[in-house]
Amino acid sequence: MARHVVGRVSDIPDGGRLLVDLQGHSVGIFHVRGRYYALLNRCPHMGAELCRGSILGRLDAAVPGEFSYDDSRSLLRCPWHGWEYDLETGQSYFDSRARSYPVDVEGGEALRPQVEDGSAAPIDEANHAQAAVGLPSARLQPGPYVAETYPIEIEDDYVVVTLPGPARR
Amino acid sequence: MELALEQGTVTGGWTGDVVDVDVHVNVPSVDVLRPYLAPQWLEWIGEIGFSAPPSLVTKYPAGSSITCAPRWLPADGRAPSSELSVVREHVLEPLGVERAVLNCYWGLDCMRNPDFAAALASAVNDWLIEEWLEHDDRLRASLIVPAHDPAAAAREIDRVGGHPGFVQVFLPLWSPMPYGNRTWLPLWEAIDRRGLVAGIHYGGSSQGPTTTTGWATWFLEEHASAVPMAWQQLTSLLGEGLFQRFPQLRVSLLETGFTWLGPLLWRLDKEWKGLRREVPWVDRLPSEILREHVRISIQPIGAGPAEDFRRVVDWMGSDEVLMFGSDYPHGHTQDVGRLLEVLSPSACARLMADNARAQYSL
Repeated sequence: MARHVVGRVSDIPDGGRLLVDLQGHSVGIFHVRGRYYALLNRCPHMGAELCRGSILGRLDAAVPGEFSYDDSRSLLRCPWHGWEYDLETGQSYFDSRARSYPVDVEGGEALRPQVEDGSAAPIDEANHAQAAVGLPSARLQPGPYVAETYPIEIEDDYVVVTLPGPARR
Repeated sequence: MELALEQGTVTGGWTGDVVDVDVHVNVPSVDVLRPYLAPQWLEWIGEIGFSAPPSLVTKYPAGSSITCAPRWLPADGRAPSSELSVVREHVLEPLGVERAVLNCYWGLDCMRNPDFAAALASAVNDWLIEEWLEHDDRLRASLIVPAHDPAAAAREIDRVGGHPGFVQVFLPLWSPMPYGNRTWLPLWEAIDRRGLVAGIHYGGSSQGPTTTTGWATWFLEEHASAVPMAWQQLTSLLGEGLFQRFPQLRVSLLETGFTWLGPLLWRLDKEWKGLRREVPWVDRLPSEILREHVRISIQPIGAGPAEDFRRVVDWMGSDEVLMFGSDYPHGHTQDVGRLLEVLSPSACARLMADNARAQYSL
């Protein structure tokens, strides 16, 4: 298990997303109405950058024309072929599953000791391949060319993604 | 001897049980319907000089061997397959048929007078009951409905659909609009209410030309375009969610061939994965839905070289889809042995009888 602090909560507005490189993988972090999700930025179908797709509510119908629309279940629709994946579980409608990761929001006060003892990797702006895709609030820019860490401020909340396997930079 | 040999090709040398889901019956002349028509229509027939619906001319040209194989053409000039004694002699006895489903296509789809079309459909159904179903326990039949008035079609289904001889509603393959369209709902509700099979059979007419992109020039084109029409009708039933609306619905495709089914299922599965949101009622792979609800009669077989043909049959992904139909008296039959030789013995038994028994609850 490797925990990565990817940014401040305020870096990802509602409806926004952040693409970051973690342990050599491109990962999309999403914020939908106060909940945060992380998915590997790779569609299991043909390898497209899944995390550049649209976020849609879940749309079902038991019979034609009688829709049930559930926007508490967010789906990510791949930009290449339209396959839909549940943001939380990565499960598609059929025999395909996108890789999802746990995301936590933690206060800086609790987080700072973990960063200091190395159990959580600090924000690395150089790994922000792209900030909030398609959003006006794209505050984070592609990073400087030298790795630089954000300090962890105790008064802020941070988004932490957990990847399987040992941490590596 | 020659007749026996040719009849051997109809069942491909099969010696087990036979259920024949596509035996044709022809209305020889409007005269046979007179006992079943109200006086106003008898008068009307004389007034307009009506003899038969004109679309028979293009879908089944009278002189074509496809309309009637020479060996089954009565020498005395009677209409082919228009009397029970002839059907017994040509099909029921020599093939050892356990049950046969009669299909009577008379081209009523081109009748624009909605009341006359409905009266003729009722007369044909009454004629089928009186002259056929009441005289031979082996017989079952498709009832016919007027094609331009879904409410009238539903009324006819309710009027005669309870007769134990009727197991299916005959729906011509070419239709004024695709059968999945919600305009047809009264028809489908009646089919569902009566527990009948919807038999989509070669024939019929659209609101426009004979192909979806214009008029076919030759009978060859029109006959072969049953394949794209079958694709379109199946796609319509699927996309419009008929099988979710009516979970018990069973559909038979008759005289459309089947070698195209595997690739259609591939294509529909592929497209559904990306376009599912448009049709969220299609809640699983189209191939699963269609294999569950649709059965197909084997003629015209359209077999290619044996090894290629074996592959095409495998691509259907199920040995429960195909049903034997002699397609009597039509003459486009290929030797059924070509099909049986690429199937396992158990698949042959399903095809020759079991699948039809299940489809029609025989």
